[in-house]
Amino acid sequence: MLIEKYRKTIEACRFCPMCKVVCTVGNITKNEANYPRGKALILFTILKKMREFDEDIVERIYQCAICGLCKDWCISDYDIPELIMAARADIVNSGKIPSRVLKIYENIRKTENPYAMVNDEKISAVLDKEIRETGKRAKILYFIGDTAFSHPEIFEATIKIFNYTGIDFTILPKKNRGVELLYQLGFRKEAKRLAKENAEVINEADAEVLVTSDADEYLAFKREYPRLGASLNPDIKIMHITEYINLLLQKNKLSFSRKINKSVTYHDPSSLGRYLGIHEPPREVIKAIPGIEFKGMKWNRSRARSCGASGGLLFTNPEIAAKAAENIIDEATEIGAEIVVTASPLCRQSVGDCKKLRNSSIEVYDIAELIVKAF
Amino acid sequence: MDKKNHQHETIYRELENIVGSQDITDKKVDKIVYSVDYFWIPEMLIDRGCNPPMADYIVYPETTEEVSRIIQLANTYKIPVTAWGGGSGSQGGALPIDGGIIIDIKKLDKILKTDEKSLIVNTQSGIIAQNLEWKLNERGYTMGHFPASIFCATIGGFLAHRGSGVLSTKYGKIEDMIIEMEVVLPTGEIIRTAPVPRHAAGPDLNQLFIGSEGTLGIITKATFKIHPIPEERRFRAFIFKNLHSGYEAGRKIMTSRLRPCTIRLYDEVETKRLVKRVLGIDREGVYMVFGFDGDKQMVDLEERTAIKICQNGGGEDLGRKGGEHWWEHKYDFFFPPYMFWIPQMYGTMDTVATYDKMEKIFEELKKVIEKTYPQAYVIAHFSHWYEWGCMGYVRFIVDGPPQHPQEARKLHDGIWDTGINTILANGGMVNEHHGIGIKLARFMKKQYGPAFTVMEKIKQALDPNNIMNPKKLGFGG
Repeated sequence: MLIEKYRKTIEACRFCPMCKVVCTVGNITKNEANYPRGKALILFTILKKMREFDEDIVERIYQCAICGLCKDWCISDYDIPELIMAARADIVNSGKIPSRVLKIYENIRKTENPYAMVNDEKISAVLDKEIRETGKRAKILYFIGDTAFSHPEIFEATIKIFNYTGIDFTILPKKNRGVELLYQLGFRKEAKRLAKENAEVINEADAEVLVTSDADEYLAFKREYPRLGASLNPDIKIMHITEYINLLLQKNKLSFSRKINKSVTYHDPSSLGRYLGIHEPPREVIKAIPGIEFKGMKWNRSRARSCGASGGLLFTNPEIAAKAAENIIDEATEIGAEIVVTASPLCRQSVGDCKKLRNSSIEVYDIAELIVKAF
Repeated sequence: MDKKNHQHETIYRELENIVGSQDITDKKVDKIVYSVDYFWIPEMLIDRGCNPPMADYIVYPETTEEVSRIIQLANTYKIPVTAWGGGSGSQGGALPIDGGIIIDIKKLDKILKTDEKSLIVNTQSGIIAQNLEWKLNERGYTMGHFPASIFCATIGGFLAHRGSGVLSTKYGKIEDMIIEMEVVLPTGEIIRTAPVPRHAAGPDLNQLFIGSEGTLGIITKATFKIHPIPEERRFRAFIFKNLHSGYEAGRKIMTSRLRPCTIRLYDEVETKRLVKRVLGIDREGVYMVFGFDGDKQMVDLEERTAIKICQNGGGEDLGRKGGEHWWEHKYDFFFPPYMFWIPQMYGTMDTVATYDKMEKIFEELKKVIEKTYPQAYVIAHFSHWYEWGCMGYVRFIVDGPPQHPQEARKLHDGIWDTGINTILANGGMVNEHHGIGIKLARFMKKQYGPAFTVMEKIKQALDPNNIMNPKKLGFGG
């Protein structure tokens, strides 16, 4: 079993409650089995052959945002996120995949998208136009990612930014299929296949810079592709959209003509912030927009709260994810922000859905959407 | 359908009617996790592949009224009720050893009112202590309560076992911080103690329930004193040649009526092993850290006086850095791999006694345990200092205990018997701040003698069906 590799983590965490105060899911359900101690304890009983993966254990293992706040909090860096991903891969290998998870997998297999959406006319119109106009080869290759596909306003805004700055860019001719979600849900074989296919297409595009606004896929490029043996051409620089825009700002290749006279806060996606350490570029971009009063979250950067979008939680346990997103809305409201900006379409979806559900007056945007408002 | 299943399903539905389907579980995956707290015995059992006793149901009430209805139901069926907070207790106090219902109080986590005029805060009892502290800090206040379990324990858990934090020497133990409480009695009635703790209207009901470990009811709300975050808080470390000289310096600081927020004195072994490993201070002798906080001028004065006492006692001043370092890393001792953990066997005999007895208690404990059980070694630090005495945080460790669960348990219980009997014979208390639970239940009668009947009679009167946390605190079940 893959979890055997994490025996040290299991043995350290199985009786240790020291990260309880930061656990995203545990602090929503309050069930001891949802905290890192509980998860490690359960997995110890599997290692010890006291139990096998059954429906209930599997349910608990998927009730985790893999947000990594526990690891960041732990002074010894015991890696619960890696343990949970290994446990999920073991579950997939054992064939005991819960129906909610299997449905996501089937969606990806059938439609190449976890949301089971087909490429509707509106999306095609935008994409075809850009591909035709810019041609295949360009300096910048824009990788849209699964979630932005289901929110055309996000990729439309991103394309608008490229066009506004006159950047020579192209979009992958095929759908940009996500790897991170599959990997986090335990489907490593499928993740490997897609990563290799994506890598091939990306390498063929022969771009200088691969830019994505999808923080989770950015994590996949940086962390999962090398693990899965999907080799991206090392000459292609990989950047998150916030890093790229920040670079444009620093080189005076981007300026804003309109003010946004509102107070704005930034929600760090765990994939971008905690896992990859990209904290400042998004903040610098937001602060560069005239008129904005930036208000920092109390929980920020590597200690940012999870909005419940990650780890597949938004798909497998939307009711728990919604409560995690509520924490973000509450914190933003408490500090007096009128707008919550994030740099991940998945976080934008989680927090945005919650805003609608709560009927909150707070506006929620992906960073690209905010930027185009200042053009 | 057999009778047992029928009964289980019936009670499950009734509980579900009270708390809702989202707030109940009887799944084995959950029950296993609730069968282990921070007590070595259930940890060892799991480690050896055995299952400790499990609850039949775990419920997550969101209101006091729900707690009351659950307890009334438990009385109807005469099934045990055990309250669970953060599950970080080291005495087995929250373990459902007779099955029944676990009431996890963590959904009772709202801060209800902060009264800045009176400097008090009213909160539900299931809030994790650090969350309360953070909220108070945002408004410029602090509880002053900083136990190592602050990241995981609930304030209800602190009250249930009379906990204390590392700054207790100034801010007091949890029982010193309380103003008033709401308690659900073992028969389901909801009561409030008196609105203030200083009165002459009979015995103090707060102190009846604090430390009762869920045997006399479940505390659902509490009001505490809070303090402005001090202008100045500073720590200083000293190295003494031996434990006695450090101990005497600590005693003199306290009997001079200075008000340090903390004094911690580590014996030679802890200094050599733990202080070195966690704090990186590699010195022979015994390490002491003390701290003062409050108005800067007062801190200056008190610190100066304490420094003089330590220097007169032969202490070598390590300066503020050596002390601040402890404050910054005070909780690190309790994260793996720095704490003691399985495969080691370990136990904390946190005892308290007057100054004339404490040194001898530690000397005897160390001598007797290490002689009787050569495989064990004993270490200690002294913290929670009072005007009249202090606590010895005495720990025994066995690096390679038996693998067989029964053999391991026999050794574990034997060391505890030897240790507690030595403490009691030398005038110490069975425990200072970790509570009794099941670990020390068998020593309660010996501790109190005839006075224990007072507790037993109160228990019988309040809990006629004996459903509240049976077998804990020395009460039968």
